[in-house]
Amino acid sequence: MPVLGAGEAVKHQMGGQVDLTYTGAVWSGPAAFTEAGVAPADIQYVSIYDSFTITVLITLEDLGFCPKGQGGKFVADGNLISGTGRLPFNTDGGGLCNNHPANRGGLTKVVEAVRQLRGEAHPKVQVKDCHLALAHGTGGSLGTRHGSATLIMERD
Amino acid sequence: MATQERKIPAPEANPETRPFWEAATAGRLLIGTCKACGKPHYYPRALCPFCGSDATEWVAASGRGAVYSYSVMRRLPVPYALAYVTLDEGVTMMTNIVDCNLDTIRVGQRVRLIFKPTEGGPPVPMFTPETS
Repeated sequence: MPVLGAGEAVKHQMGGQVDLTYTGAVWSGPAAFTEAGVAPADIQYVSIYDSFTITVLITLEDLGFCPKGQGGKFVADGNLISGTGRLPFNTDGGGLCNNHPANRGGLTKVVEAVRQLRGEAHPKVQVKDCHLALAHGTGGSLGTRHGSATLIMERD
Repeated sequence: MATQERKIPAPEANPETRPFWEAATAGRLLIGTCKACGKPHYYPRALCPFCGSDATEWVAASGRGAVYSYSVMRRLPVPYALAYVTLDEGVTMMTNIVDCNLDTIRVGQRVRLIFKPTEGGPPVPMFTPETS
């Protein structure tokens, strides 16, 4: 599956300028989108590392899928539900239901994104004609120091 | 939730951090500042995290600040409140809020410095509500 764009970043305590309202995705996301030449509105499926609820909410905002502070509303409005929402998300069940902690982290996110692009996801959650997907991983501890990685892939 | 004292492992000083722990033993909290760019930083270190200069120096913090965020660790034999406190000097440090009812801690609450003993090492800087 061709990679269109990728970005990596680290965030830490920033010399004491601590701000818990954003993650390294504010840097890795734009790098990946710029390289790919696409915008968040173009993405048809996302896999986002989901260690905790707040991890997903902040990452959705940082990647530009909704305005800052609107992550909760974006999710509550059903946007992540495949078939009806505008941004189908973690259709493998995510970390809680499928693959954490035995296979935590980024690679499982890539696996499901590739399944979606190949049309090999579970029929109940397969995104119709999915050709552009994003996978995002977070490693470390969100509140102290972590690494962020964004991958945008396109089906041939 | 009542506050109990929990055992705190002794911090290990190294040549870069020894002045910090010596000051702590004397009841003072040191932060770093940079003579090149003028910005305060925490944790203190030999090279400025903002401009890379080695013209850093230690300054004593006022010991006053406000709770930036916190989380009470409840599933432990001795619960405690992990917190980020923003000092009046403008840097935010990870610490604990102690000597208070942990259910009353609030974001933005004014706190003051207090040192807590460790197991055989220098004391560690923590904070308690100004009113307590």
